[in-house]
Amino acid sequence: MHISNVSKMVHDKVTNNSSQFQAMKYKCEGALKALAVNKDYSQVIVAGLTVFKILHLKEDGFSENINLRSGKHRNINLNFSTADVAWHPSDENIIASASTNGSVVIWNLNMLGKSKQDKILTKHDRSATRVLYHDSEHNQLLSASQDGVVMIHDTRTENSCIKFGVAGNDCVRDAQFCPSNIGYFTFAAAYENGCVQTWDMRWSDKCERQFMAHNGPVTSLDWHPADKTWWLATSGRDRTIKVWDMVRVSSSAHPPSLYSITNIVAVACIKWRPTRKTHISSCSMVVDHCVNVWDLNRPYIPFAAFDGHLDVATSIVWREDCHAFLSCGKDGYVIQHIFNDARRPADHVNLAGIDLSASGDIGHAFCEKKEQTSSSLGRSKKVSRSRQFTQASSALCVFFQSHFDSVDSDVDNDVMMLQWFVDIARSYKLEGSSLVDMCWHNGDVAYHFNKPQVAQFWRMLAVTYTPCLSSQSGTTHNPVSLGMSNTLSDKQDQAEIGGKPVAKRSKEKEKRKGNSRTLNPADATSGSAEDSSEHDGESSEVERIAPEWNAPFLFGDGDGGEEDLEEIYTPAANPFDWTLQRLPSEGFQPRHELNPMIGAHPHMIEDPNTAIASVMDTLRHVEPEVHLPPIQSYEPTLVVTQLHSPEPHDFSPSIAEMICSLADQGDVQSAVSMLIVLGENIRPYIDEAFQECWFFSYIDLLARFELWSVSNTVIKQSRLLGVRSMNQVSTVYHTQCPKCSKACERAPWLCDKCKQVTNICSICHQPVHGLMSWCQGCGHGGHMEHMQEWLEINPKCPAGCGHLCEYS
Amino acid sequence: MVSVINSVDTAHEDMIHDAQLDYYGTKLATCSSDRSIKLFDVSNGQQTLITHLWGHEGPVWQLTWAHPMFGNMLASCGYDRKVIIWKETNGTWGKLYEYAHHDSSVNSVSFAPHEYGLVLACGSSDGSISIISSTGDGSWDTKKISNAHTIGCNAVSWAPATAPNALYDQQNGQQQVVKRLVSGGCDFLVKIWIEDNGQWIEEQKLEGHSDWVRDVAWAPSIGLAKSVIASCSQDCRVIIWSNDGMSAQWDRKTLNKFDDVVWHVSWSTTGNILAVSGGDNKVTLWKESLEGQWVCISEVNKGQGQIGDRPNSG
Repeated sequence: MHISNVSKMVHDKVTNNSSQFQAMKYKCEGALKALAVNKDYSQVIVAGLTVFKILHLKEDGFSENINLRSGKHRNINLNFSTADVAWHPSDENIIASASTNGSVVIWNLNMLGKSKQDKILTKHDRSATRVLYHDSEHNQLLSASQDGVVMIHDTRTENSCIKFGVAGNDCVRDAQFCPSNIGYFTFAAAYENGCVQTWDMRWSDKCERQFMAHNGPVTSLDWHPADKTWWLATSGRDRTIKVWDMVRVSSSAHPPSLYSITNIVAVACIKWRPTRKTHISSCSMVVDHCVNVWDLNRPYIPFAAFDGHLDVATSIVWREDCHAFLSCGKDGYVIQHIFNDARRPADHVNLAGIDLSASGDIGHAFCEKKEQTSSSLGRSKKVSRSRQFTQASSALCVFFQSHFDSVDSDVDNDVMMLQWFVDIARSYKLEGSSLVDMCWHNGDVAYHFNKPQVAQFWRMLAVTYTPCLSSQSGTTHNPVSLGMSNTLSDKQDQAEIGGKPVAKRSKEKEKRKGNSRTLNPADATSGSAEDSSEHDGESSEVERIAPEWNAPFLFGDGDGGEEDLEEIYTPAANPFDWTLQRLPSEGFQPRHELNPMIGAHPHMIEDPNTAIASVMDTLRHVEPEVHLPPIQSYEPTLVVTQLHSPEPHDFSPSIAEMICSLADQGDVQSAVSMLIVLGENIRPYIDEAFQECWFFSYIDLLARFELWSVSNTVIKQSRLLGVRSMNQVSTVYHTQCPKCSKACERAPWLCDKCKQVTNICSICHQPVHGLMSWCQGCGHGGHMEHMQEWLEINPKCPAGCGHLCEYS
Repeated sequence: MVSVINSVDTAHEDMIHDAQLDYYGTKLATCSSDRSIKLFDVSNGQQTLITHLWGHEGPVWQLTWAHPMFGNMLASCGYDRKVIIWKETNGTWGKLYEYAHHDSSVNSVSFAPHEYGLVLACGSSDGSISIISSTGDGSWDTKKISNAHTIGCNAVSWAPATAPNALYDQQNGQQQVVKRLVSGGCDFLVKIWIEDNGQWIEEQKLEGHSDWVRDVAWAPSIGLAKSVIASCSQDCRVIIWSNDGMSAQWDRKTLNKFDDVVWHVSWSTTGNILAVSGGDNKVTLWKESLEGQWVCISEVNKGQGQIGDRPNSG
């Protein structure tokens, strides 16, 4: 399963025996600040300002054992408001707690009666923050307090304690004995001013070592539990967790910081994860309610996150097995989390990023696979999961279009290269010429940039809107209605040409020929004789050309209407195209002079038969070059056939439809250009909202390619109010005060700052009425004629500012 | 094999989660787990580091560029539950605004079409979506869709301002634009939201994925009459949702089922090509054929650590 790749890229071996624990939670009635577990993990004390109880810790859940706050209400004093608790390392029944009134209380569960308070050591001036037994010297009880003092009590005697630090100093937030196998007599204390101190418990005069660990209070510290690892982790309100190498090299030196992890908010508490050297758990002071486990080697994203608390967690205790731990929180819950349930933030991150630029380049960032990295270093050993977590890195590539592998060779490789778009946008003529000329021009442009379909459209438009045609619409428009009637057979034919090489071609042709003959028994006689001979010659051509003319290209997805238009008009357009392009005319003698009347074909109107003949002739020569669909060679015969159809045809709806279909295909460039060129001819036939939408799309595209002048032309030539208004914003130009160079915003001739009129002539020192010219560089100027005179002799500003004024 | 012209050495210290090209395609922004954002100038086939932005307290998940009419502006979101809007003023980049009202990691951020003004949406793991808009005088308005997706929202994307639906809905008053956005989440759903009298309400719920939806992308509508949305998911599928602009019906078409999780989908500027980036480090480009079938037209990859290199799961 590939999915499991990601979701279970478990970067850590979750051993089977971890299933002996299960996730469970227990709700206490008040916020919890601390918890402690006895030696064999059968009981847990949870404590807070209003809670102090011992719970059974069973396999399937928590249950209350003893509530130490029970008893008469008046007996409950501040000694019960607990900031920290500790379980005696060897005696199951002894508990120590740090109270908010500064006392350290020893509880003995064996005591009869409701009150279990054994001893109260009131030594601290302010609230106690931490209480802890030495892990080997079980009689040594450490307590830390906000009064700035750390004390080590000898619990065997009533009043023996050693004080470390001076009362009144910065609050001690945390203190901890160094594991006895590392530094038997050492403990570390964290202070509110950002300091961390280490002390030798035999020497209370002076701390061993002191260094600034964090900006702002150090909230928590934890010695690394592993043998011979002199690592001390500290956390601060500055959101960081730092790991210090405390190996005693020089006692005065600032210990080297080995790792730094940044949490998203202030860190309240940290705890190393047992048996995983680089894992450390943390909980936050605000906002973030989960307990995070970090890997030191990946300091940016937690290795695992444990949800469940409804408010911030306050304390963490790991079980000996590193796959489960307990936490308590301000929400009153004590929860046993197991690693199987952990959320792995790193598994949910996006491994890849991708973006396409306007010009079709692709930026792709992706995660580099880990094994690759290690094997390239020559290590054959498979990298363990927990190592994998640390080796995240990404590569970033920018792909350029021309370098793609084309999977499907039928599709244009440059399909995403939009260079043609830019070129066409630049070359299209949208103004300054007659409608027909622009259509011809744009058709050529489109053809040149390999957009034959669009080219056909343009040429068709040119023909349609040729003045002569429209004046005599009665006769010339007839072909349309004929074309309409023949739609079906045309389509069929095309589909076949596009689909597969001509199999039924000849049969179809016969049908067609018969068709045309029956349709025009008289008129087409001049053509029909050579017609049949032509067909044979052409059919080979057809087969050769056919593959290039796939069905989709011929508007396979459009609706019938446009297809018909297209098919019918292209033949008529082509002779002109041919003359326009001035193809070599070997062996061809035009019977009629076509050149002088570009875009109009009066001959055709006068004498349809001869016109057809010329069309046929032309086609014969043009076809190989222009790659017309072969079907079109038959058209002329059809065109003439129904000359006497009575109905004149209005093109505009069809053209509107055609433009809409262009836009539907996403070719907003052609659609907008045609709208502009055709102007009022077509505008009323298309929903203005659509037009506006296309215009905005096109203008936006032009902007992406920084084609500002084209964009401006488009805006200018648009007949839509909404589009045109784009050019009517930000048209205010502020004049500049020549004295203080401040823009004059209120009136063009008055400077608000200098309280002076700005239109004083630099030469005659009179206010200028009428034409004023001034230099945009220095802002000085004056009467037009004065300035002219001055500048004829002097290159520099007449005001004496030394500026070499420039006037254009 | 594909030759890669530009392999950008980002020097990020951890994984890169997003790379975004600006409006003109000349600047590339990357964001990483290492809490930083880098901007590169990638014009002329070169890449030069413009700046290195620090400001997030956690991994930065996603980036979005604002339309250039607002200046050079970039928004980022991250694990630290923040959304930061960065702006270049006089050649130096700095924080313009910081939004920190999500209760969990903010996974996705997206600037709205410029027609709506300076507006951005962000989706968070707390399940909500925020819409932050500039009032123009330097202050910012926020609206929140709470409980947009249970468990979390992974992606947001705006409908183009010229979405044809807007035209149909407003036959008479065309000036009023209808704002829509689409989101994808951990509840396997893709949802479409519409602004109605200043309130964001759920318009559509698209069901089809069988795992977390990782990314959604509303196709730019360049004159198109229909709306198209692409969504990808951890179920390895990419689904194309389309609406003809006339009805409320969204058609579902599975583009492909890939071999690996699909992380991102991205449309080309003209909205006809879809780029899909998957867990196998490949990018595939898809185009709808005229018969309405989606075909893979191109495939690019760096040729690194793909098939066979996957770590064994379990």
